[in-house]
Amino acid sequence: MKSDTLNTTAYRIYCILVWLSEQSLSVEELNDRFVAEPMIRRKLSDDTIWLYMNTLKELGCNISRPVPTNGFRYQLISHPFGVAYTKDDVQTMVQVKRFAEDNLTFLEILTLDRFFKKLLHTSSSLDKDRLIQDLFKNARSQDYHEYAEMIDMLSQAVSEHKLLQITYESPVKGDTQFYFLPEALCYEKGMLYVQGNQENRPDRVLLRVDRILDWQETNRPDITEPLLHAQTRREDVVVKFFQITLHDFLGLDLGEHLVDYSPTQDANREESIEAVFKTNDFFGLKQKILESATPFEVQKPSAFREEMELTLVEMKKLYA
Amino acid sequence: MPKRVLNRHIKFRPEETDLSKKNVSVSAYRVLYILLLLVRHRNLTLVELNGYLSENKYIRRPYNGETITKYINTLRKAGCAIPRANSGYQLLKAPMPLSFEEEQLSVAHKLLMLLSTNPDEDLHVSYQALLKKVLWVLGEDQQQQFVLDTATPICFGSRKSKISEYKELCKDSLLLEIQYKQSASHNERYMLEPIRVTQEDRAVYLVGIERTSHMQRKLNLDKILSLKQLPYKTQSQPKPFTASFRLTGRLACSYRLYPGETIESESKNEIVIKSQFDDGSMDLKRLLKYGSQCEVLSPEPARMQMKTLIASLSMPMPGAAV
Repeated sequence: MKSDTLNTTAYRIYCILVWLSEQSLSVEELNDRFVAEPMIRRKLSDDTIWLYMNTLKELGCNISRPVPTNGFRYQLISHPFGVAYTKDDVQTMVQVKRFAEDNLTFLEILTLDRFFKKLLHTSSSLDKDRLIQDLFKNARSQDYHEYAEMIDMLSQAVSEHKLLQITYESPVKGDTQFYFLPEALCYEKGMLYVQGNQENRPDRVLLRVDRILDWQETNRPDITEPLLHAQTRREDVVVKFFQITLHDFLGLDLGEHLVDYSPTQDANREESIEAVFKTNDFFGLKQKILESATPFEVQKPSAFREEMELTLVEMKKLYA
Repeated sequence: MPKRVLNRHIKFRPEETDLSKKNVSVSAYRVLYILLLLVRHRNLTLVELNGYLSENKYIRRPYNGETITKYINTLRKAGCAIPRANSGYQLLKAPMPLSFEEEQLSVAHKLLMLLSTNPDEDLHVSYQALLKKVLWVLGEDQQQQFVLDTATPICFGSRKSKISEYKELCKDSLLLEIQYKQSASHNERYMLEPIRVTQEDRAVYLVGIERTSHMQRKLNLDKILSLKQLPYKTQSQPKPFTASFRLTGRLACSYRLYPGETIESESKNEIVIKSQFDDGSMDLKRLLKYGSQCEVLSPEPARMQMKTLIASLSMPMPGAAV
């Protein structure tokens, strides 16, 4: 079709660009579309198509030739007609990811990751892979794209209280195998963990999802029952925090196991807060208390009190 | 063939400028190059468009309005949203729109709403600008669903204005005299050269350098009792510095590096991390959670600071609770 107002070659090349952005196409498939396109309605020679592809390449498109490895199809690998995201945009994504950790569920965080990856992958940047790497590196987080199947399995195991036999890549012990009853999935500081109870370990355990090498559902009531009991067991922990106002205390991140708190005041009018926790994760609670950088005293249980006192003694020795 | 000089600054060799020798459709290249320019700039007048066309090594010349209109009409016929206007050419949406999963757009939008309640609105503003770029590439049906809230962010009114005030003080670069509630029973006076306002967790801080000690201070805005701006320009600049700390035991095997950190040395059950701080600040509190598996090695002020932090964790009770 010819028209004084239409550059037919440009029109055809634009059509090729749009079609290839949707899927890879062979010469035959391209010609089928040319014939069906009302403004073209004819097949084009291989040489003409090659000229059109060269025009797109000269504009900055990266198009792979039809070769056996791609099923003899033209494949649009990248093009400059998308949005260009700047380093500042990537930095915004990093900051939003960090904000999301405190405000979204782990599923929402993984969805956000997919969203940002798609934005960067479809951008007109020449170095998309690098931008995506920078996003995860600067956010100090893991890309869980390849773990979708495992995450689904773990979610199901959590909801159905299924016992798993897991092969785990421990950074200390190497590859180990053990029974594990998952309790919940959680996202913390850029990493996805499955929390639960492991055979022969009294406290709750956090396993990094990306270190689970293999898993198998298993039916062992003799192991499941005690682990289920350990999961539901909670112990009362009372900690007093000194020289802190209620306002500051409420700004501390003391975790999900804080159940109660009450402000007190001593004879010198020094403010303190008595906090009550119900937990089976003493290691996690220990970290939260230390990180609060607030003077404290564990009131009960005595074993935890002794552990914290010993920790402080050992920490002071490092700077003696 | 004589060299063709486009302008004083750009020179190309002849063999680089002849498209016809590259098995390329020259006219189609021009049309699609115009599309590329509109993708990059979104809105261009005829003069601006011709400026870019003249700078292109293959085109190297301007075109009259009639020819440009013909090229634009080809793009319109192909489906590009370029409305007719006297002022120029605007590309309203991406030539190849994308579609996203509904849940992705839903999460993106949810975050925008949450950020609108954040005391520091900078991130909300940046994220909103980013989502406006996304809106441009969305297909029409998703564009209609994905409505950005362009109204003023909902925020804690007085806190937001306080943060803006402090940011202005940082821009002024004048010395501040600050009365600060150091603890429940003790106030401290600081002569501070303000650098920036920063948000960490749920608190907002004024970061600056103390004039006398040249130490960097991070003051919680909620604890600033009073502030006076003095007529003295700030002198200090935050100096980048490097800190080292040692990690032992299980932590040495499992520690994940933060941005700006490198492993200085490692051996069985022990690694030494070097941490670069571009703005002179170091948050030592996060190292506390590692207990005795972490020791700050250098610089000496950081070691002393860590020592003080640890000592303060076990302050004895001042008296019986009431």
